[in-house]
Amino acid sequence: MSESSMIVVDNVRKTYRDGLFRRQNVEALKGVSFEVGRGEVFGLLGPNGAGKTTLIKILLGIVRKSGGRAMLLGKPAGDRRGRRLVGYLPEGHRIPRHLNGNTALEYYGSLNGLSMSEIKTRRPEALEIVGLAEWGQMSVKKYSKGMQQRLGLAQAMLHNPDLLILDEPTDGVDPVGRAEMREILSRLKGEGKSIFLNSHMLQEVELVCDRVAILHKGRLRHVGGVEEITALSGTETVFLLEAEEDAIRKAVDESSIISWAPAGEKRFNAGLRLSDQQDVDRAVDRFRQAGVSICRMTPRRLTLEEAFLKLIQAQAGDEATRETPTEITSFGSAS
Amino acid sequence: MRAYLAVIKDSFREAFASRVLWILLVLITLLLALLAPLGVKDEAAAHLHRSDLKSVGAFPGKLVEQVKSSKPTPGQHIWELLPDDLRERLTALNKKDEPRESRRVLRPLVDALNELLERQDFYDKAAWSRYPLGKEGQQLWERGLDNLSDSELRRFNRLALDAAFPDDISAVPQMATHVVYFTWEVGDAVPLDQEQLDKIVKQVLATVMSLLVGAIGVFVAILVTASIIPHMFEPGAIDLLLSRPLSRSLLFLSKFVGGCTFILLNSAYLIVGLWVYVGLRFGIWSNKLLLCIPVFLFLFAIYYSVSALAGVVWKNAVVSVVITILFWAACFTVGASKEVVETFLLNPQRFAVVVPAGESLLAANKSGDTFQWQPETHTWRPVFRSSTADAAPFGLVYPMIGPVYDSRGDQLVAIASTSPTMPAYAGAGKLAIGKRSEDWQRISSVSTPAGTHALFVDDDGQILIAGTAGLFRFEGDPTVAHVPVEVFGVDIAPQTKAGKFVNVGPEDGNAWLPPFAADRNPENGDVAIFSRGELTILKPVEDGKFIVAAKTDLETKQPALVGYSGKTVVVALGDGKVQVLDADTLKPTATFEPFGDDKPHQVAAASNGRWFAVEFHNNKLWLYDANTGAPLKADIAGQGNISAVAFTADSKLLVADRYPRVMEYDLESDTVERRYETKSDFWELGYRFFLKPVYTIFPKPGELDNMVAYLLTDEETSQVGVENGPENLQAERIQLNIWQPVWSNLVFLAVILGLTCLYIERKDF
Repeated sequence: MSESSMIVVDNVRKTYRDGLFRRQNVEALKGVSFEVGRGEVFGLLGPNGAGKTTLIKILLGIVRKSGGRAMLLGKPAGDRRGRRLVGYLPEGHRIPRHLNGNTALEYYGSLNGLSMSEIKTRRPEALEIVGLAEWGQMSVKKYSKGMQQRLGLAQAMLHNPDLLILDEPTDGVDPVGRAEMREILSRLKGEGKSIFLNSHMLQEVELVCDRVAILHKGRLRHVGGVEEITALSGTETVFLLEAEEDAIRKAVDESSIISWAPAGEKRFNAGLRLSDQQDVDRAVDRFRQAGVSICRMTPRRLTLEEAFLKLIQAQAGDEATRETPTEITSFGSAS
Repeated sequence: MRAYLAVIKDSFREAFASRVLWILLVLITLLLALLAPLGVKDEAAAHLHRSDLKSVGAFPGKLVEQVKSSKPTPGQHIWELLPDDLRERLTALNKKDEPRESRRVLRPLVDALNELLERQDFYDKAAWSRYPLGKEGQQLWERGLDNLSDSELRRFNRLALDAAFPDDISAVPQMATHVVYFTWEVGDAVPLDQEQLDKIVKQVLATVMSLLVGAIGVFVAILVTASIIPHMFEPGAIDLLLSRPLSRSLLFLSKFVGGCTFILLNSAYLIVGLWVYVGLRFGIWSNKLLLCIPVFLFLFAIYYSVSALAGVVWKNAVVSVVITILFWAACFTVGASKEVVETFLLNPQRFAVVVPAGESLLAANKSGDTFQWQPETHTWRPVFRSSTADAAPFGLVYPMIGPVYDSRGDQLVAIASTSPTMPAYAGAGKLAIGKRSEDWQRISSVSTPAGTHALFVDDDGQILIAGTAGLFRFEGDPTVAHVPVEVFGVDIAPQTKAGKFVNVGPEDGNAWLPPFAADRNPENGDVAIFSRGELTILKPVEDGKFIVAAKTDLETKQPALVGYSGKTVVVALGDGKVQVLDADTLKPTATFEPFGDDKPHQVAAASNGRWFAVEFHNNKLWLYDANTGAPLKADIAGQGNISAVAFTADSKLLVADRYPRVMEYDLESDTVERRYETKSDFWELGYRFFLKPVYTIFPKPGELDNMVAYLLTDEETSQVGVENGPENLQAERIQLNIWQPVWSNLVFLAVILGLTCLYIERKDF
């Protein structure tokens, strides 16, 4: 593990105890390991209940891990020294309603140990970055959901942290706001900040993140660059084939067919999952041997969203027979 | 630290953002504005109040008596000035001898006298020829009635009235106080000096603050602040806090302290407002009033700690409020149960007087019931019961002076009230005798002079009583039952059958003034009299009269109790000091302050002249050894629960405590000689093994009112019932439980906050 890692998660486990006598165990994390490097934008993906927020809370010391090792900025997770240089935007955060934009930043800045003069210096810039420069005097209770998200982001970056942990930062933000948020993240990335992003908006993750991790039912399924992830689920190659349908289907493995659409008399568009060139060659050989004419052959790469869904669906099918799915229903905040 | 201060600062911001705070501040402002015009105006006292009449029925009778006199009397003169219809009612009344009617006529009579006090012809020099005016009255007379202002004339006439009926009308105080609102006078002037006014204002303040801040304010604050902690721990809010480089516990404690700002702002505004108000309007700049702010803050913090714990666990403001109310109800139930059991079931049974009667031991409880120890059965048997033999109605007692044991007649002697009354009221007493040979059957004898405070029986069986009216010896046979003949409620039957009280001195005829106390030296029969700061030793001479042997001014305004034996006089003063004086020279030899400013309750002196015991209202006993001139350290059981003390004829110390039990000590050897102890009854056992332990460990937020009362009055005990006349140290006082609630509440607060911190530290949010 690198010394420069901002986050180190090594075989982290978390088991919640539930029930009247706390005898019912619910495993939220089942040995998760990954690292986030300095200056990296890292996306954590997973369906609801995958354990993403639990993992973030473990890193920040809000929830205690049941096992494994977690480090934040070189300090054990939960250590106050580690949290000092972290900016956190929680999912569904609630800024007290009696505050306005300015006093909210003053309050949270003070909680991070900033002096009043430091706060007064940094506050205008932070509000400017998130587009709330003109709304600092307005009461938080009059803020829209999007404005509250922007204010949340402003409080997270007010103390100039090295690492930003953002849990669903674009939740409730309109498309324009999301684009602005992407800009802010790009700018922060440009400033060398490390960003740990937990979002359902896979399109944004794909656009912003250097690496992503996919968490599913408490297990880490994949970690890597966005291209690696999309490639993992196999590249789709769309063939325009001419032959009887039965002849075409006999020539290929049914499981590799991703899409199928008629394209005229005895003509079909067939999308096949072919992971490498050998697979492509083998498919062409089989079609030719079966007398199928290949009119056109177009390779197509999957989006992150498509790849994510395919991975999750495929693994759900694989695991259905091997293990009971982990359903976390008792912990509203654990997702 | 900056971060935690930011949390507290944010709480102020939150409080100021609350509409409820502003509504309350406006209400407090209105209250202070309404109070501002309310004040007092001092004037020379003159108004006659019904309460100035020492005996309700006696004054009309005395007036009519003077009218019949052959010589000119003030009564005759006043009679002439009274309206005809009132004179007719008074005349008819005298014939009918109906006490009820005499009470009815009293009000118009007092009103008529107050009208007469306005007149220049109220005073007639000839009529008052045998009733000299006092110094002040004389000075006013010398100035000429025409030259006096209206208020001075009223004052002069009132002084003249007092001089004419000194035994029936209490002397008018120097100043009287009018309650005024703006410039309007409210009601009649009340005779109050600054000290009394201070006391009343402070008592009213303590009550008002306990109600407005301690009850209503705290309740509103609980409702308003109940949501603070649950909101803090809501998902989304707590994450923003716990993700900071801060301690969870300190974060919570800062929020808790911040939550107290609401009550702090309200109580500080009200109390500072009241402080300025009583300072400007009454001249009472009591800085201790300001100390009530932290007291109320502490009171709120106790309730708020419970609310906060519930808020952390359940994250719901309604649940917090409900649990806090349940907590209050539990505290109230425990405290009230203990008070009820103590006040109405146990305290009245505790011994107030211990009477060694030869080989027997008798004791009287605070209800006025007397018991004799039965060594065979180890029980206390009721004896010396009043002829009515009725239990006093709930909360009332039969006040009694004594009983004391007359060894010559082998009988008990007491001055007992014939009617039940509030514990603080010393009713008109009658001599009561109970002979052992007749199983201590009580025989009611003649009435004692008004103002009797002390009763002694000498070795010859002579009964002596001492009081503000003087020193009297009983002559005759006290065991002959007296048949009363009452006029206006006063017994006027000849006392010759049963005997009578004869004034035995001193010769100068000046009655003593309260505060009064007396004790008789069992060795030589001398009597020590304490009267308004003066200590006098009276020595019996051959004709049975007493003469002044020594006199000194102790220069104190305090009430006192006196113990006199051997060559030593011990004076226990109301401010908690105990002065020891040489009986011959009356020079002080030592002064002690055994329990701070706790007031003394009883003083007993051993007949050997060596040991003196002072029992205080904190129910602790202090012993003094005249031989060493120093306090005596002895192992006395039940300290803190002691209710009575006495010495036997052979100088053994008898100490009664609350169980009720009497222990006999030999102070020479510091050993317990005997124990007079019965099996505890149901209530005592329940109190000792259940109620008291539960009460001890339970928090006592409601009892912080005692701290408020203490801060304002500086007294750790308060007299039971309404104070009637000068302070009576022997009267029952309630020990204000001041410090125990503070400590138990502090411990409770620390435990609850500690548990909450522990929960927060271990909890996953």
